[in-house]
Amino acid sequence: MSSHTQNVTDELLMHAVQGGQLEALGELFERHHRPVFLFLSRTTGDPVAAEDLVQEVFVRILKYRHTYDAGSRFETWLFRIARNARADHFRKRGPSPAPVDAALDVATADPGPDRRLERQIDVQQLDRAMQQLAEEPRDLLVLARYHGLPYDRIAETLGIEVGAVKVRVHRAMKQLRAVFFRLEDAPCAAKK
Amino acid sequence: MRCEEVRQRFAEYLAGSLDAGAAQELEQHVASCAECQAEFAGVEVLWKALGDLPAPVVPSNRMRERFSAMLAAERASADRRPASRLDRGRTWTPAFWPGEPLVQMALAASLLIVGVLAGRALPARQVQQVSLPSSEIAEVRTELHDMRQMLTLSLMQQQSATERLRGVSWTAQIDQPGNEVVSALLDTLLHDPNVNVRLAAVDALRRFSDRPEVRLGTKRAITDKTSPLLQVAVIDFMVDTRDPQAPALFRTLAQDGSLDEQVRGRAQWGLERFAS
Repeated sequence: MSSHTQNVTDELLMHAVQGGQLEALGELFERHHRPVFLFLSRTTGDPVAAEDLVQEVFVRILKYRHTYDAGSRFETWLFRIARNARADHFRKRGPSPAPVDAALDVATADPGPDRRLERQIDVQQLDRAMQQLAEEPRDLLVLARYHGLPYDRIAETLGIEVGAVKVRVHRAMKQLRAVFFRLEDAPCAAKK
Repeated sequence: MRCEEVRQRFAEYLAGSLDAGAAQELEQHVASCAECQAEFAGVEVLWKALGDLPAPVVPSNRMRERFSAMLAAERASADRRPASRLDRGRTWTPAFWPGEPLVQMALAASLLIVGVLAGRALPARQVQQVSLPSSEIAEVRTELHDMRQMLTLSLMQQQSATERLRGVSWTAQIDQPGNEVVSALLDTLLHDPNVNVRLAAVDALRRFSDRPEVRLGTKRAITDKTSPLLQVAVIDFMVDTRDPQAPALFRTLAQDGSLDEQVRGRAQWGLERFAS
């Protein structure tokens, strides 16, 4: 399949899946299972759950294939499904202890320009800080930083305006810095 | 451009998503504004540090196996869909009710026998008055046992992976199953196209692990490189059942560079379990 489908767009493959050619989904899986897994793993901090969720995402693609709008970008639809699957998964599992800083007030928590980040950041602490962000800022940072999605595509995926993406990514970076400093100030509590 | 507007574009700039004109404008502003310069330095450090976070290991092989099993089950189910008028006609049936007429007949007959037995057993006070000869009860029980076994074997032959899976799990409910059940489980273990059904067969075969043909079958299954998941499950099976031939086999697997890394790791783990 792959030698014939290398130059075929995702959208055409999805169109084939809609038409009953289920083997086209195999090519879509090969192209996208890795970024979807990385997105889910980075935003949940739980690679085991992410693995299950990837399966769930492709089950949903099959199940809801008739709802795919042929004029829209496949990748956007895919990430929307991934976000919904993740939300359902954690809803079923009950409330999660994170994010402890979901309601973090950036204005008051921002340490200000006097407090500078060192050039060598403790990446484990940064990882913990990421996990403490609320869902949307974490998604925004992961999509912008690791998936290299331009803001208009992020906006499409999250269903918000491009202007809102700009503001919220900026705010998410400030939140991340604030949480990072908070963990740095209370290292013992952070490791619990 | 106001400072706040510029700052909102820092991440976009660092991601390389800004167009050349906007990027140049931002650079000029940052060069001339000390506060934005400090702010930018902080954002840049954080942005780069995010790139240093270790990437999670992607378990592609495992995910691919699960995906293939799901797709195979879906295709099998789609192949059966042309008979949809029949399907529509039986939408009132419960989810566990099998689709094939032969299996339906077998299940109906078993339910009838269960009903007869239950009907005779329920009025406990009258048992003494209408008690059946023990030979008759034994006969009915044998019939029920045979019927259940036939139904299980029939389920294991179905086209639908879900029904084959159900057949495999039903073997656990058969007391003293005949050789044909063990043979069917071995056949499933070695040849079923669905990895989930094969994994269920590994579990179902545990109670027969002392049989030579089962030990032989699991040894054959462990060499099937197309399914690392199955290989790992069989390694666990051999460790749990203390198969005396396992250590030699595990040593070979652990050194076989053509095998999946997880299979080799599991074989090494198995060796350690036998050594302890």
